[in-house]
Parts: sequence; C-alpha cells; structure tokens
Amino acid sequence: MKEYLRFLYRCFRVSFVGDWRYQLWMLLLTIFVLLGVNAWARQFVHGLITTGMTDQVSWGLFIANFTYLVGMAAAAVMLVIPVYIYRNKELHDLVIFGELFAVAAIIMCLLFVVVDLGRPDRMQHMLMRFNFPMSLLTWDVVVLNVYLLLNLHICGYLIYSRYRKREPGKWFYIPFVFIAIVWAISIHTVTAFLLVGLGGRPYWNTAIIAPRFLASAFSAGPAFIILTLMAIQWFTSHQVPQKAYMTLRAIVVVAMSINVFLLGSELFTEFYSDSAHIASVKYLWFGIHGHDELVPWIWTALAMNLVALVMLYLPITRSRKLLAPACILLIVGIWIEKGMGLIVPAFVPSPIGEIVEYTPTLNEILICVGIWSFGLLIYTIFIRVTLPVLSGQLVADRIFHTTPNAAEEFAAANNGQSTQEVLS
Amino acid sequence: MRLPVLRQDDAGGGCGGCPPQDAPDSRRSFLRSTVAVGAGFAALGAALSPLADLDTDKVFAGEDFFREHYKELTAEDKARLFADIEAQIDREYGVQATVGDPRPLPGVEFVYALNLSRCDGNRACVHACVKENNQSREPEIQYIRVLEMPIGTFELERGNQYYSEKTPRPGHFYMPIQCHQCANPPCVKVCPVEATWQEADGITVVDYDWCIGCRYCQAACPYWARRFNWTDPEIPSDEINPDMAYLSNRPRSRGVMEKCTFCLQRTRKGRMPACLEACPTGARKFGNILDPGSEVSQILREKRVFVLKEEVGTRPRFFYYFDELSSRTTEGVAS
Amino acid sequence: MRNRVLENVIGWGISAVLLILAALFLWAPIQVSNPVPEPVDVDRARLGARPIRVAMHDPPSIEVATFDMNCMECHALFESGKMMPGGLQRHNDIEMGHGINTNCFNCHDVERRDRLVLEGGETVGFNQVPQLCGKCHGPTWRDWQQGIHGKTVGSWRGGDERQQRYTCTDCHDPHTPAFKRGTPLPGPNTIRMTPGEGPHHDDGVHRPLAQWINQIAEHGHDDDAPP
Repeated sequence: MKEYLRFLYRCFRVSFVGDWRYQLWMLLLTIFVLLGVNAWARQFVHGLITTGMTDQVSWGLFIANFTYLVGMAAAAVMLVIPVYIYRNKELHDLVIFGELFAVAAIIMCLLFVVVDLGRPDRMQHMLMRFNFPMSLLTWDVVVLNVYLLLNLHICGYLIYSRYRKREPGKWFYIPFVFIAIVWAISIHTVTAFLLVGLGGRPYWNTAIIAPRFLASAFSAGPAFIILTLMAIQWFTSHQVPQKAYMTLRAIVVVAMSINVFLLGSELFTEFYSDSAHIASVKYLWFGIHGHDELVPWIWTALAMNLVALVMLYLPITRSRKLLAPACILLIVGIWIEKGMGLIVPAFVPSPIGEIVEYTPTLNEILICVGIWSFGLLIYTIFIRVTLPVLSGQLVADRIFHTTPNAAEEFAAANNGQSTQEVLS
Repeated sequence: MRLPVLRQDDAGGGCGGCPPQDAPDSRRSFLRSTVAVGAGFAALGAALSPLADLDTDKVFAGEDFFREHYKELTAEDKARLFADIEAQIDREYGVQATVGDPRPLPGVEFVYALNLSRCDGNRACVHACVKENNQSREPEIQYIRVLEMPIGTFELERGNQYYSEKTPRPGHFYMPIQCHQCANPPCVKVCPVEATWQEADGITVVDYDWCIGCRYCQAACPYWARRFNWTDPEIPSDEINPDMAYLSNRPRSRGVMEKCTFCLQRTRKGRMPACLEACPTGARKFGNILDPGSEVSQILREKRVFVLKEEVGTRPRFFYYFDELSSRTTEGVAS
Repeated sequence: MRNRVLENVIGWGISAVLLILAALFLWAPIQVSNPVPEPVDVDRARLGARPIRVAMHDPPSIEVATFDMNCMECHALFESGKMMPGGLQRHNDIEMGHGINTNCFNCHDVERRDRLVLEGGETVGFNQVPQLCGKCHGPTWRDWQQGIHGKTVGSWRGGDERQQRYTCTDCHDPHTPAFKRGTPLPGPNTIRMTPGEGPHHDDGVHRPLAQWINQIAEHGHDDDAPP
C-alpha cells in the first residue's frame, strides 16, 4: 500500500517534468482549462441561460460532445481486440495508450454531463433515488462509470506491475479486458438508446442510430489513437511499429466504410419515403423554411469523411505523412456529424413544429474547450507517466534522490551531469 | 546504477519522482516551482471569481441540500417544510402565501377536452395560466402554446405560434397545446432521479426540489409541454398568486423543470383550471372521466374526439374535438 | 547553457502567464449577454372567469333617460310595428347580425315585451333564454344541455355549489351572436426570441396536387415558372 502511494506520488512528480515543448503544451492546456473553469463558474452563477440552449433546443454542444466522446472511448477496444483476441503481440504496449485514452474520454464525458445539468449541486440525488432500469440515463451513468473503473483497473494494474517489475497476473486483468471489450460496445449502445428510445423525436427514433454510433466510434477512436502514437513517436524515443499503424488504419477503413454505408441507408430511407417525419433530416441537410444554420457544417463533415475514406483506401496513407491528415479529417468530420449533426437537428423543428435554431454562446464554447483541454491534459500526463514505466526508467526499486548522497550517485552515473542537465 | 541517457528532446523520458534537493540550482528551481504552483492556484482562484456573485439564497435555499424526495416526506416534515417555503416567499416577495399539498381525490381521473371549432386564438388561457401558476415573467415561461393552423393541414410545422393579427383569421383554426397528462408518459419514464411522476388522478407532477435539471424529460416529451428555468425566475411581487401547492404553483428555482399540472392546487379542491375559466369562447372543458355524467364524459361519448400524435403511444388525457358544423367565424350563420 | 536560459524563461514564464490570466479573470472578466426579453404587458381584465358580457336579467329592464324602465312601462303606452331592423326609432343601440333571423318577434313576444316567445306561442322569461335559442339551434342546445357547448366555471363537480353554467347570452349578444374578431393577447416572448420574430411561415393551404394542376393549367407542361 505504501509502495503504491509512493508510486502515485512519483507519477505526480513526473507529470511536472519535461522539456520546453512539454511545458508549453501543458501551459496552453492549463490556460484553456482555466478559461473553461471560469466560464463554468459564470454558468453556475447565472444558470444555463449563459448557453445558447432554449426550451426548443434543450440539448446542445455539451450533449453533442458527450455523445461524440462516448464514441471515442471505444478506441481502447479497437486496440484490445487485435492484441487479446488475435494475439497480435506488437500492439501489446500500445493497448495501454488506448485504454488510457478511454479513461480520459470517459472523464470528459462525465464532465460534459455535469456541466449540462441545471442543478449540479443536486447530483447526490442520483445516489438516493435512481430510476433504474426505467431511465436510460441511469443506464448510461452505470455503464460509463463501470467502463471507467474497468479501464482504470486494467491500465493501472498493468502499469503498476511494470513499475514493480512483476509479470502481471493473468487472472487479475485478462478477464477484465474481455469484459471491457463487451462493455465498450455497451456504452455506445446505451448512449444511442438514450436517444433512440424517444418516440417523440422521429429524427432519433430509428434503429440505425446504434449501429451507426458504433461504426463512427470505431473509426474516430482508432484514428485518434493513430495521431497519439505519431505524437509519441515524434516527441519521445518510444518506438511504435509500423504494423500498429497499419492495423489501426485497417480498422478505421472498415468501420468508416460501414459508417458511410449506414449513413447512405438512412438518407435513402428518409428522403425517398419523403414523409412528414423527415423535417429534421431536411433541416440538417438542406434547411427548412429558410433556416439552414447546420447545412454548411454537415456538408463539410460529409466531404471530410469521404475524402478521408478515399485517402485511407488508397496506398498513399501507408506513409504517415498522409495518414495523419486523413485521420484529422475523419476525426473532425465525425465530430461534426456525430456531435452537432446528431443532437441538434432532433430539436428542430420542435415537437409542436416551431423552428428555433441553436447557436452556442462563447461561454458554452469555452466550457467545451476547457473540458477538452482537461481531457487532453490528463491524457498527456497519463502518457508522460506511462512511457518511462514502459521503458523501464521509472521502476520501484530504483532509488533516486531520496538519500543524501543520491545526487552524487546520479551525477556519477551520468558522466557528471546534474539532474537538471539530464532532464533539460 | 546508471540511468539511460535521454535524447535531448525527450519529453517522455526523464527521471521520475526526483526532488532535486541537492542539485546546484535546486533552490532557484524550488522557488520557481513554488511560484508557478502559487500562480496556478491564483489563476484557479481568479477563474472561480464569478462564484462571488452567487445568490446562495436561491441556489442553496435553506435546507435544500438535505431535503428529501417528496414521497419520503412525513406529515411533520411537510408541515415544517411548507412553513419554511412560506417564510422564504415572504422574505423574497413580501407575500403571505399558503403552501398546501392537496392529494388526488379518490375516484377521480382528470381529463381535458378542447373544442377546435370554438377556439379563436385569443390566448387568454396562456396568460391566465401564467398568472395562476406563478410562472416566471422574466424570462417568460408559458405552459400553453397556441398554433394558428391553416385550414387543410394538420402538420404542426405549418402552424404559426407567433401570430399577432386579429383572430380568428379567415382560413385558419387555432390549436392550443399544453401538457397532455399522458397515461403512458415518456417524460416520467426517462427521469433519472424520479423527480417526476404520475399521480393517481392522472396528473404528472415535478418535485422542484429534487429535479437535477438534465432536461431528458424535455427531450422525451412529444408535446413540448415541459419548460426549463434557464435562470432564476422573476415574478413581480404584486402578481404572486398566494394560493400555492407544493407540487404545482409554488415559485420554482433556477435549473429545474416545470410543467402544466392541470392547476392541481385548484382542481383537487373541486375548482376549474385557470385556463378554462379564462377562455372566453367556452372551447375548454375539464372534468372527471370516471363520472359518466361529467361534461368530459359526455364529450368523449358524443363528439368526434381525437388526440394529438396518437401514433407515439402516450395515451394523452387531453382530447381535441370539433363541432358538427363550425359557426365560429361565419358571422350570422346558425349551427 | 542555452537550455538553462530556456528553462528559466519557461519556468518563470509559466508563472507570469498564469498571473496575467488571473488578473484578466479579475479585472477584465468575460461578459455574458442577457438574452432575456422584457416582460410583456397583458390586459389582466381578460384573464378572469367572469362572463364576457352582461346578459339581460329577468325581468328585463333598460335605462331610459337615467331611469331603469321595465319593457311594459313603455310598450303598454306606445304601439310599435312588427318588422324592425333598420327601422327602429327606439333601441337604436341594437346592432342586428343574426343571419336570416331579422324579425324582432321571432324571439320577443308581441304582447308581453318582457317575455320571450317559444314555438306555439308559449312564453318564457329572459332567464330561460336557452330554450328560446334552442328553437333554431337544436344541436347546440343539445350540446349545451350536456355541458358540451358553453362554459362551466367554479367547479367541475356536478352539484358543487360553486359551479356556475353560463347561458347563451352570457357569451353571445343575442342580436349579433357570432363572436367578434379581436386582437389576441401577446404571443410568446421567450429567451432568444422576441415577439413577432417567429419562424417564417409559408401561409396558405398545402395542396400540392391542386397547385401542380393549377401550374400546368396556367403555364403548360414545359413551363417551370414558380407557381
């Protein structure tokens, strides 16, 4: 136990150490987090009126980001499946980066739900009266928190084992890995069902939402992991095998193809039948009665997705130079499509036919940026801590400057350089 | 013991957890870190500075934090709680209000019927409701929306809710929409904290002190009947209706959901809802469906009745009907 | 050495940036605009439960030169014709708009002007006006009897002493029974919306087939001019 606390303390210390690019990056994220905190404080004082939401469009950017990030949290699974099911050993270490991202994404999800609440001061009511299993929102709370715990346990255990230089006990994590695989699918399904189950919102009331959710999640998540691995390789000495990129690329291509196919099926059904229920879809893609705020966004998203897909199909994305932009296009495209494109149109027109458009306010955007920055901040810290553990630089029995003459020992071992010099 | 020498640009390496106490410039480094941490906390504190404007009387009013769910309140709890709320209303508005808790009457199930041939879109119901139920005036909250629909369609999207010309406008009919008090309410199903439920007489109520403001019910309602308090509601003191009930028209706080309760503070005492009494055309009908002699029972038997969005399966207790012939606007023609 | 300088710059820079940020939070806070519109004025007189007009009571009386006079006080002295609208010398305030019902004595009794006449010559008082109206408006009278037409206030419970049923003339002017068109009370004025800023509405009747046929009739098949 004491050893574990010491591990946490050392991790805490490590997260503040890095070169100037690391420091600047962390500073930047901290600034955005603080801007977000500031914006949230304002929202807490004035109420949700500081957002662009109305009784007509009662969910906006917060829930959009929430649904998107639930999807991103799937990234872990798409790495886990090749490793543990297809025994692809080369990806073994990389699984941890995926799982850590899942942790960060779920934390962001939970934060987005909290900032969306009108009365965050009453969250404890959830513990006292929990409308389970009737309310899908309670299901979501359960699956997200369990998924968070599962991933925290898996990567926490693996990293700590590595830190203690012990072989991880299979029974302590392999079963959880398999549970997490199923669970990752459940978080999407439940989040999709959250929307799908509402009979009064024809835009959501379609069974295709859940599979589309999974498909887009399984492309955006791994795409994000590809970018993360590139960044790790670029900024650190940690080597990522080319095969990892190619495996992920294959996953992204397949998932994205399914996603585009499902999108096509949905659009055909809606527009060919041309029933009164397509008002929301029409609003999203073409605008209705002169209201067309989302139209440029969704076409941009479609263009981005298609360009990314074509790029990924071509051999040009075997090189990382072009794989990166393809992934970025895909991540942004799906963010628009699955975030704003999935949430907002369901509210336009309102169930009684009123058309009120939604434009997020600056305060609302700042909160979103703040949460995203916080997520990236903790993800950066996770990676920052994990890398030296994986490379054997941060291990339990190595005593650094905890004894009076440690500094000398250290200097002697490093050709006379001081700690600062080694680290700088 | 030798550490691997790191690449210069290696942000991912480095020695972990080594407080450089004895390094040559440890003191300066320590000072620098301390100042940075201090600056960080200063920035965090400054970022939270808007919280200084928080009106704690509105957000954490009284014992809000420890308040129990309505269904767990004992008679003594209620007495104490209602007295607290009355005192708070007195503090805030200077009004001597009585907060009651009328329970559903045995053998009563409320039903509303609305005659579309009669409604002329004057909106008296909308504002009578606001006045009776202490809805916020700023920002404005209204439970009833009246749609001006062109004759020949039933597509709600074609209705105009913002009409201001003289009514009734030729070629149009008027359709007020409010909470339909569904027998199978989607809003109740989705609430994560059971802050809203359907009572024995069919009225769906909200415990304003339990709602966490997630707005899932608002997304679930096919009739757009729920309203959210996006900020602190404001009501002029001289317009407060002092006859209040815990589950209906007592003043709400910010961040919670509210809705039409068929004026339960009136109807559970045998009175008529405010929207009905204000309606100058007699288009609104209300009563007990379990009483075969009641007006609404007669209407459901005699008239061509329909419910809005029957296909969503909510089984509303709010019925619309037409007369056999419309005499509404055709001046001087008998029906 | 260069690294040491960089390290110092970054190290102190972090503190400086954070402090500047703190200062901005405190002294140049971001303003939130308030999208709450001003409350609208509502004519509160229109929100009550009172009848919208004062019906003639029984026995009827009208004000003549500041005196309350019963019908017969005059009509016993003066003779008056039978068919009136437009030709009235008294009761000039009456505005007739009752469709084909233009004869005073369809409703008013010729002999006893304080009575109303039913079919077959039977008379009733002014407080039994529904029976009179029911002479012509059968379905409406039936609906009114069942409580389907008309307005009941006070209580929804049958037999409750607070319950009050309005009669025909509590709402309708018997001489001009159709409701007048009127200005509605203010429309929605919710956050981020101002009155009149409602969504766009293409008014008119939605009859795509009819519109298409008209279009062809007017412009011919090949003309794709807008309807």
